[in-house]
Amino acid sequence: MSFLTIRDVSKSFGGLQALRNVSFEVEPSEVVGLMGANGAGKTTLFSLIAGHARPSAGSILFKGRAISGLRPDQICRLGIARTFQIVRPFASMSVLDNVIVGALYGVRQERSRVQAAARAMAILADLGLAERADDPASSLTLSGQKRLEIARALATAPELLMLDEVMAGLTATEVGELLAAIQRIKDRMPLTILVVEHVMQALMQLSERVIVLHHGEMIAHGTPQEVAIDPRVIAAYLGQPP
Amino acid sequence: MLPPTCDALAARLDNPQQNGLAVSALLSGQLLFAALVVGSVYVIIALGLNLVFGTMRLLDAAHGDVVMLGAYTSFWLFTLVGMPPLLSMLIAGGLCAGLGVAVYRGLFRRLLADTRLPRRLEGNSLLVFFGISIILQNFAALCFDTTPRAYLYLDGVIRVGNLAMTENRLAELATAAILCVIIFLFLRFHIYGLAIKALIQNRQAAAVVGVNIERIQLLSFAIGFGLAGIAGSLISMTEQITPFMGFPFTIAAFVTVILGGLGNLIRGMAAGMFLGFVEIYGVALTSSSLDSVLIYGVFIVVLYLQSQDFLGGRQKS
Amino acid sequence: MIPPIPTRDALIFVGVIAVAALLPKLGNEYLVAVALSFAMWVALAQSWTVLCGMTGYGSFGHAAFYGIGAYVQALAWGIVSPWLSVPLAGIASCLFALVVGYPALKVRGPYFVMLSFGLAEFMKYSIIGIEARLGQFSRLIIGAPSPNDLFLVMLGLAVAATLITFVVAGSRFGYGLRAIREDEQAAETVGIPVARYKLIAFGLSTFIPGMVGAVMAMRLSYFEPSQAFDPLISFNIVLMAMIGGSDDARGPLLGALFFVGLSELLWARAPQVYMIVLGALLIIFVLFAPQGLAKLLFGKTRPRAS
Repeated sequence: MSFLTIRDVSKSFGGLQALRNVSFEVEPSEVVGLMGANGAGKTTLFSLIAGHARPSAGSILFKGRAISGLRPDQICRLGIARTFQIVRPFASMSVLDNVIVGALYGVRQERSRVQAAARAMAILADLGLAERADDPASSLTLSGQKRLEIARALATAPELLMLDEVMAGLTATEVGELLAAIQRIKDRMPLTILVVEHVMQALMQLSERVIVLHHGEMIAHGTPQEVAIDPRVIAAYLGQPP
Repeated sequence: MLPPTCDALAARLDNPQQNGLAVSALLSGQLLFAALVVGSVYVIIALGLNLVFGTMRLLDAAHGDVVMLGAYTSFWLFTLVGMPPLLSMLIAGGLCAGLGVAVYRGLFRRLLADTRLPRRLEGNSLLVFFGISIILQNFAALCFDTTPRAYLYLDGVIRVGNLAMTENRLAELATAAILCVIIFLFLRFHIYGLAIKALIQNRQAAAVVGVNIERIQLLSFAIGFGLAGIAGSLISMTEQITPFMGFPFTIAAFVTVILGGLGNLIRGMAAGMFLGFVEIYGVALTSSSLDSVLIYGVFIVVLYLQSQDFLGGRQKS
Repeated sequence: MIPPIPTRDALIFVGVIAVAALLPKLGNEYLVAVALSFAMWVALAQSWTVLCGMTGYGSFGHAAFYGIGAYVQALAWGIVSPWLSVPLAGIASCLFALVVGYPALKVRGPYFVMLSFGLAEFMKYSIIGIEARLGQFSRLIIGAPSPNDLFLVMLGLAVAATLITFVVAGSRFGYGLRAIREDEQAAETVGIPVARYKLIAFGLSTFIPGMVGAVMAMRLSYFEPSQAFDPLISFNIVLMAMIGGSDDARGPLLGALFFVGLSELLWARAPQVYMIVLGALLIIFVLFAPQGLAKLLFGKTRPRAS
């Protein structure tokens, strides 16, 4: 029984078919990358897994349990956390409070604010945000807010972390720093990561396996190297060779 | 308390001895005419609200009170200098448009430009407009005291078969219709009208194609308030005027705008008419004292349905 | 999770309550009346804050719960002792809120504000209609407890409401509510049971207003439905929260103080000017000080435990 199973998942919105018969599995402690052009269905898939929408067909199993149809907060408590493509911090709360919320309501359901704060500070330190702990979340730069998003997700003590285009909008240096931070975190705790990325360098560097979506269908999967030279992927991104 | 537009008829229907008249009254053209008149006024008021709400997502809770100001303007011009309301409505419209400009420049330009608050804009605008509403109502109460005012104008009656239509109501209907056509043509063919529609549909895209957002917003405010003022003049011919008469019109306007969908004029007109029909026929079928229950009932149902996307609610910005 | 209480604040609080409790002994009726009014608004504003200040679902229709409480008391008068009917009024209010809140809380942001207003008005006109059918145009309570006794009860309600808000604001529940206010969908993603929390907050925010309505019914001993469900009540609560701040328990206290002070100054003398001033204040605070006096005067409002 694999960790996360996506089986024949389809999703349509009215007349638009966003996902069509997508199937793949994710093993524990893997880092799986999801790539595809805009509109390929990546964020839709994340929304389905996180519980913001239900699949039109197919099933999603997490640790053997069917999760499609559960509410987002229930899915979080089962151990799945996600970040959003466009950051959604709790803007007027402090950076620390943002992460404390995750600790209070995630898998561990902390009751003590003191303990939650301690864990939160540790996570913030990992992501280089410790000095900004008392500042309002809205005062962070984009890079900071992206890291805060990840920190908040990590505070929920997930087993599966879904990162939705966390590198978007970051400079090359910031991308490198964030990659290193994610690597550190992954070394420290047993974490399975599902990554959606447009920044190829980051995707290829992070992922052990890559799945390619195109117009809602899975057109290729394999190691980053295999996928990079896959003719179907090249055709999808660059068009057919003349 | 809603303006009793069909008081005599409703009173008759309340009377159990004359309930036999009820069915024939329902089927008569009388109610139809009343519904058309009420509906057409709602359409004009809602059009004004649509402009303010549609272009800037501002929840104008004071819209009905602008109607009230228009009504008072016509009343005083008629009483003091004998100016017919069909003429004074232009002055009322102008004054209210001026008020719109002042409110925009004084209060909302700041609110709209403050990029820290885009998410809270709708909520804040509701509160600010509510404050304006309170100020307008009590200012009017202070200046004019609260005794209801009324005047008689064009109170001759035209009879067509069984149908008795007072001239002033006919004038209301006709003026509202003409106004609708003018606005429709303006929004369709005039460059500023098109700009307004663009702003309603997609604010950022409108800016990108060169629409002067500032100016169009100002224009929307002015026209929106102006229309409310004109509607007030029309209403003043047939209803009693008090400082607190505006609120039910605000509610009706919001129901119409939500039902009709933002920026959708044809649907908005249909919605306004629909509301007029619901009110008149609803009151006729039940009792005149239930008109407030009816209108607020429709209000809450519409708001709820809108959030559930039955009406294409575009709540998430 | 009870938040730490700064000793100085706690002492001041207890001191004020002790002084207030002794007020009736002074024999000054006017003073007791003003104090009762103040206590009432504190109780209402603090309760409102639990839902609206914290989750951002600003109810503009809280008068409905006040009115329900008043009616429960009026109907139960003479049948059961006030010791029973007042809490009953609170429970009735709360139940109504839970039933209505379930669909109503699905409506977001300013539309919820409008909806809550519409609901309160709908209730008002419905009750007016029902009362008219019953031939009752007003309700009478003869032989109510003395204003001094009622004042002590109201004081108790004000204290209770303040404590509830204080505890909620600093608790884990409060964190959840605030997250809902900031971003409802993100809050759900980090594990907060949003729908359930909103409903609980809503119910909690209407329990004391119901009891306040019951107490006031006895105080006024005569009221009509349009008074019991007067939208001005809702408006005043919102105004107090805007002026005072609604992030924690300090705001409503400031707001109520400001409001009662202003009302004593102006309302009897020039009611329209008074209303105009209120309207202007609302606008000024929304535009320039949206977090209210509490933020302006005290800065960071939440104690940190590090």
